[in-house]
Amino acid sequence: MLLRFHFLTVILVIGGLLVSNVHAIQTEPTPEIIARGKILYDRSCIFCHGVQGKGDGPAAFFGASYWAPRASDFTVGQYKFRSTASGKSHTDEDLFRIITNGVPGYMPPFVGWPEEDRWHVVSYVKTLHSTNSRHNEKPLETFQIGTQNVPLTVESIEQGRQVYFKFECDACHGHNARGDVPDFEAQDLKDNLGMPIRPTDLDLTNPYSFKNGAAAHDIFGTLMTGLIGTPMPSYADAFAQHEDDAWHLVHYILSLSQGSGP
Amino acid sequence: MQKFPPMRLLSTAVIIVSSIMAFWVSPSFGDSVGSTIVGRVTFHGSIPPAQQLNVNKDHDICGLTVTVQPLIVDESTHGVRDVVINVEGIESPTVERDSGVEDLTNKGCAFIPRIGVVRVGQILNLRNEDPMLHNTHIRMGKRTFVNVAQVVDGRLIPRLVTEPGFMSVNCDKHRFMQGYLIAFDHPFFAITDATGQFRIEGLPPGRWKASIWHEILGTIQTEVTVPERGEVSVNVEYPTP
Ligand code: HEC
Ligand code: HEC
Repeated sequence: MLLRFHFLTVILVIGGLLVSNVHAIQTEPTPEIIARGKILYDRSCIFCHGVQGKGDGPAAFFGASYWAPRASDFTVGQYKFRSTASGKSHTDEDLFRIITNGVPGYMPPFVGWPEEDRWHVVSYVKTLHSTNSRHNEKPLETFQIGTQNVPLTVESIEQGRQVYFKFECDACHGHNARGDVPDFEAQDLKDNLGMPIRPTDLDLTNPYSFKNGAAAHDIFGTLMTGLIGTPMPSYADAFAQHEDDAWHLVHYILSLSQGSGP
Repeated sequence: MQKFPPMRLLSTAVIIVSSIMAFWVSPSFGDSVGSTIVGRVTFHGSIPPAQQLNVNKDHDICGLTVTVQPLIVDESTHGVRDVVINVEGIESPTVERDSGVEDLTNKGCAFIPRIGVVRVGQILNLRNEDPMLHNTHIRMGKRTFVNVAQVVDGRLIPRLVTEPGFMSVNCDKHRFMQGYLIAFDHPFFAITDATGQFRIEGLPPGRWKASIWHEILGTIQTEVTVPERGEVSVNVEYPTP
């Protein structure tokens, strides 16, 4: 137990760092910045996201074409990994964050790039959106409440376990949070492109595979915003005025990985 | 401008503008501005058998199968329920329909209403009256309007309708649940009641395009001539296939 708590603290610290990184200053997109972003995009992103950002780069025609998820279609202008309410568009920081961190198993992180370059590519990606989704949204208010103040205790994990079943996370993620849903086939979960969701996509016991980040703050974000384009719904309204329960649940999910975390 | 999804267009529909009762009243009399279209949509054909869909989980609440019958025809009048009428292309609305609230409720493992009509600017209140989780997932093409968890005894979830369009309403937990939501950026639309009747008020005079949509009977397009003042009756008979 002690060891596990230690590992959780490390995750929390890393999470904090990532968040502060994201709040870097952003430059106004001038034509030069967008041109620079395009050069970077053409060099490093086209292979997966395609020339027009439709998610139809050559990579889509290899293994990736038959399994969800495909590289995101930027022309839709809606993002899975966001800080905003379900159905809303994104903040520029959201794009910056995912480009920096990548998507484990699907997209490499570009953390090695100078920050400026990452912002330039953000500016370019936004030009690929349909016109009605170019504006910058505000993050959900719960993110402004600040960092969590629910201590990580055995009681908190137990309360989180109860929330897991009360809010029926098991309906999709299974009793053991490994995607172990009886009659999984009949469930027929699909993403927006009609591609099947596999039980491994639903495994919450392996933080290495968490696309939206495995830090406590990241998981809190996933619960609040949901993952647009997939069945994962936003629980922001369910947790409204009970944000503590969300942190208990985050503790429970982290406890499932039994110290196998990043 | 709202467009119905591509679907077979029926050219043989019988559309009877049966009576034009244009009555002229002095403006000082009227609180109502513009004219009114009233009418009924009917169908005399045979009704296809209802669909039986298997329920994949929560049998205690949803049952083992659900019955879906999108074509509901009133026996005595032959009026068709849940037909959506849209009068298109009117530039400056003469009336503001109150920008009120519409409900979309998960009840008995179905969406109520199954076919909903809303106006941009209205609030859609998402509710769950079932004793278990639903996730209301509303999409317009590739864009998501909302995907929210509706937990047991959860508070209602209000969402502002911001864009016109044809939306599909689903619950990923219960894949057999299907509904539609159609949002308009003008007030000149209606949905038929249990006897197939509808009423659209406040129309400015002119010759307007109208489209009439039913989930399985299809789309009919026609034109209506609206007088300066008064009531036009438009009755539409869907052709039997
Ligand atoms: C090896 C393929 C690959 C490369 C290279 C790649 N991506 Fe991705 N990217 C993906 C995939 C796949 C996803 C979708 C993951 C998902 O939906 O779960 C994604 C997702 C994203 C997202 C998040 C979308 C969302 O819905 O939140 C952004 C932003 C993004 N990529 C930007 C970029 C940029 C900018 C580059 C180049 C600097 C790049 N990607 C390079 C494969 C790639
Ligand atoms: C209606 C089905 C459904 C329900 C209910 C649901 N989820 Fe999910 N969840 C998904 C799907 C599908 C994904 C994976 C999306 C993907 O990877 O493409 C997901 C992903 C996640 C992730 C993100 C993992 C990552 O890759 O970053 C977390 C964390 C998560 N769910 C937690 C929960 C919790 C906790 C609950 C209950 C409060 C819950 N989910 C309820 C379907 C659901």
